[in-house]
Amino acid sequence: MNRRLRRLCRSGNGGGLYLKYLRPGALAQIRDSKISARSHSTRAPPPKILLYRPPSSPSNNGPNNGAPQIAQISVVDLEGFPCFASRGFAPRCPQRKKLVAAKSFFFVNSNPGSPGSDSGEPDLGVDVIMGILSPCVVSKQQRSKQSFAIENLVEALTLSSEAQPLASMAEPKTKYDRQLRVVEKSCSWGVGSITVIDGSIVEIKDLGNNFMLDESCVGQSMAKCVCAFLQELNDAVKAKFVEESPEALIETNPSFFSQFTLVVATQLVEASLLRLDRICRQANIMLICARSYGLTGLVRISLKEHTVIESKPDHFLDDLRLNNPWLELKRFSESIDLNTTDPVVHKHIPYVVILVKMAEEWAQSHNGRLPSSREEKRAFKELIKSKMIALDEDNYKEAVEASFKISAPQGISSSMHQIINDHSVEVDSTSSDFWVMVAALKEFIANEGNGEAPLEGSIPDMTSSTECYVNLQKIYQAKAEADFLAVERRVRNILKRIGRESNLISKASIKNFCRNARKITVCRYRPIEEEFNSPSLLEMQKYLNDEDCSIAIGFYILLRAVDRFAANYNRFPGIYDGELDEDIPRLKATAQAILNDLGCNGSTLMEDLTNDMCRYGGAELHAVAAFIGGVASQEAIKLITKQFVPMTGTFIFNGIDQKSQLLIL
Amino acid sequence: MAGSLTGSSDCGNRWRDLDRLLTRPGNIVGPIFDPSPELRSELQQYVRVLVVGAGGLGCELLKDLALSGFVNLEVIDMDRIEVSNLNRQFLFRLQDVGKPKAEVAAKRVMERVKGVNIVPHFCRIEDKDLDFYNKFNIIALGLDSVEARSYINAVACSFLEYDSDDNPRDESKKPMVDGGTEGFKGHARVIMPGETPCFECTIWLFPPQVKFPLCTLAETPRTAAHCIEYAHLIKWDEVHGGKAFDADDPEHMQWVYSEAAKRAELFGIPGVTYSFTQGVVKNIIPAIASTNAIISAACTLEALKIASGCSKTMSNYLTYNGLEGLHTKVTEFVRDKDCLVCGPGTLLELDPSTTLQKFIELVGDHPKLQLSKASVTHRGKNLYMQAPPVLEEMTRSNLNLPLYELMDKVPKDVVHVSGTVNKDDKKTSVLRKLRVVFKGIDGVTDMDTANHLF
Repeated sequence: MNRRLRRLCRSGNGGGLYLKYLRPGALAQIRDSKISARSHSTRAPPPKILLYRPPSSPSNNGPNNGAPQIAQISVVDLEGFPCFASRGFAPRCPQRKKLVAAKSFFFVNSNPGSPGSDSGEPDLGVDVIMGILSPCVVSKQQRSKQSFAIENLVEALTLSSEAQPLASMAEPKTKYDRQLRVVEKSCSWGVGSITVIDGSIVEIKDLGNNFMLDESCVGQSMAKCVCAFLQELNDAVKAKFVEESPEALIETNPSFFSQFTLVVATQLVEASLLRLDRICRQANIMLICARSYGLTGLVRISLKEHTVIESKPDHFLDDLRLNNPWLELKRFSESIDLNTTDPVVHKHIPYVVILVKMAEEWAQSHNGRLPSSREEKRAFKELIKSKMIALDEDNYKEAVEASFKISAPQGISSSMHQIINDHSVEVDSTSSDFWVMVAALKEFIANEGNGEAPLEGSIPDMTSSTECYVNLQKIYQAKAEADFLAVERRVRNILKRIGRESNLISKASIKNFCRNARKITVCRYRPIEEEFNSPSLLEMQKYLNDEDCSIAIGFYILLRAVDRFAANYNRFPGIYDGELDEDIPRLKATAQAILNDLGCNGSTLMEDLTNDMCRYGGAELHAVAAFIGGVASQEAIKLITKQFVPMTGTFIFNGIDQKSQLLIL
Repeated sequence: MAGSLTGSSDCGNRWRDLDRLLTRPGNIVGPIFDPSPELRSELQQYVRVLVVGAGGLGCELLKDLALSGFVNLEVIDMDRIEVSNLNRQFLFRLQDVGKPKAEVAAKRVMERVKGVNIVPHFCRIEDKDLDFYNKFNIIALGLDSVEARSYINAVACSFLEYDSDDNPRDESKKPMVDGGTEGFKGHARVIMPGETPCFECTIWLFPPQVKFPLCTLAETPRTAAHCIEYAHLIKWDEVHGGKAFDADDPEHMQWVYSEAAKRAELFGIPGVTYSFTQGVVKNIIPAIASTNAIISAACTLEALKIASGCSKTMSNYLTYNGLEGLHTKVTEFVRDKDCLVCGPGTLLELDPSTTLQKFIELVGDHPKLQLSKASVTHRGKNLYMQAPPVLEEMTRSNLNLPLYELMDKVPKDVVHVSGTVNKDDKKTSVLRKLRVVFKGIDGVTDMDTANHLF
């Protein structure tokens, strides 16, 4: 390297000045200037970076080549770790040895009584086990995405402090103060343990994208090293590890997976993934699969059904029933005089009361109808304004702003309609608590509810005197309580009818269900194999023709194509610089074949995108892996806590322009 | 140092995956991407990245940047580690509580990623001068405050220069990547001053905070938050007269909680709990680790693309929402051509006899600027500094000199002025770029600047 130039670059001005500013691609210019500077230099050029072709590349293509490598690693492993034995049974599929895919997982074990959970532990609802697998020898750098899924899960999922007594839990409580506001009532879902499954040995290239490993890990068990870092991150979670290839487990020991609540599978190629999906579905285990590949990747959830009571949507209309006030609310409103001459009282009448009274007044002069047209709504607002006696009456301003609420359609929403008419509402002894409560809800709506769901019972803050506000709260709470009791009666009757213990579902659960009745959500997922074999053609065509989705759907196809390529050529496309040119048409043909198989005959993928996919050569960039891992963790949190709504479909990460898409196929 | 990194074959092996992106040509790449085996070593030698903030996002950013090939990193943060940081600021451990975040974060990442060099700065962002910020090629923001973002944005935009046609000069653009998270939601954006909107162009994206009127707290509390804020803002001072409330002192927090609980009981208001009290008093923005991971990863990827051109850059604002399903969207916001911060600068036409003192007064009275306590710099030279006292004394004599002479008699040039403005009843530090033109000096044609005349 030219010393003079380097000095120049370091100094704050002169030639170095422009180096402080960087436009996209500016490095290329820097290099050009450097190269021209170097041409005048007598110093030797810096050593060239080696291309990553294994030293014995010609023989590397032979199918037998992988085996000795494995054997060698196994010996190293044997010296370091006594639990080598389990790896000994890993399948030695030679054709896989050259894949650049390493696979990894983690599992969440839901069974508190399982051998994995500590019997001394109080009721932590969930045990997490996670595993990293990597039967492939050629590269194991793929681990980072998965490690990050794991790391984030440990950080985010271990909130078990809310229910604990304050004094003794002062520290954990502080530790999680921010989370507690996101996920309240977290007591029931602290993660007990996480198990990492990986059969590989840490190599230097793993250090380039996995923060959980450092130099001292090289030559040691991947699963063990990652596990140690996890334990350091959070000692409240038991971190376990299994030194075995996940592919081997999928092949030879499918029942292994049934002990977990959640399995996260990372970097699994298509064939193993489909097998694992079948295993998990059969055992009712939640599955998240995550993949990081060059500048793309995907996250997908697979399970039969996920029901959410506490969906906690961001924007949801409050349940004030101003469009359909019940008797007690009307009576309470009648007890308040809008024409009071006391200005302090006048400006502290809550807007709920103002609107109930004004709607009544409007209906009387409009044949019992409420304002519906735009004109009428405007006139109604004017009517409210006319009742103001001073300019600073915030309660009247709030009434004008909320006046649309009296015109909201009565009855339940279409999504709720869909849920109460779902086939699962015909409950029997095998039905889940959720569907039993939905069945009761359906009966309630048809009877006591007069077409409405149970009242939520909470009201937003509004300008009011404290007394009036508290009284109003009580009226809403009383109605909510009455609705809850009616639903509860129906739940108990249904339980009896289907031959189950009538107090099987707790009061608190039913109350919580009633409070969230308008927001319940049901997510269903197709088996991955079904989606792969017969995706919705209509959607597929739509995505292929939509400019915003074209890259994402392209990556969807190409991610499948690289797996098919790997199955044919025993490696991912573009791994070797020398074969890059041949791999591009090969990958293109493979992608086209997939499109044809799916019936999208007329479609072609963007040529540039196929080239880019080859350029990646199966690389796993840390930033992409961290993104994918973060998404998978968020979804895992939602699945385990049964709060918030998990995604449906396949999330395709688009690292080119960040226009990622959720594809529902 | 940097040279030896590329020499080692071990390290070359370590970055094998990254090199695939940097050494191979592609068609969906940045405009001047020039793939080469040397690109990474150049990235490591020449590119300096500053991470602002060492909290949840900042820790992730440092780790992501270190594992994306960047070697010269610095981090600035004024906070010390608290127990509540430990769950998601994954670089910190219990024994680190009380230590500066920047120092511990830098140490931990350097321990794990060999070859990376991270210089920590345990101080306020305002404590560093423009030269400090100017030495970075990219500034990555991991902040949770609008004010701090605004400040760094103004600093980065202050380096932006315009040519005589008012077109921004490419070499003066200081790119920023900015991340922000709240619960399951977050944003990542790329700010290329002069090209894409700066933070100030789209300040409307950050609505002002909800504040409770004091009379509600004192007279008509209705919610748990009202009771807590009453105990925190009113009752504390009444009882403890003069003693500052410390949100990190558990005893203080416990006191506010029990007072709030008493008041809630008095008014029949439910919902006051200890954790809710903490949330309200500390104005805690809910945070979860996975969202920080997502957002900082997006920011890092964009930083890598800015530095290497190895793919297209995002244009220019990504939002992520995982609350209900999963929604991501990239919005291409447009610049505000009249932006005070990233625009060509507020034009001031001055008489050559205007003294520095008079100039500072004009800046204070200017309807768009209203900048008080102004310090003035020109081309890196301090013309007048309000603080520290030693600099104030050194520059005080300049006040009576004509600005024209202090600026070495250039007919027009850019002057940087920093000071405070009152915004929403709050004093905030700002930095403004002014284009000063002296009237009647050769080379300057009459400009139609009636609004800016003094």
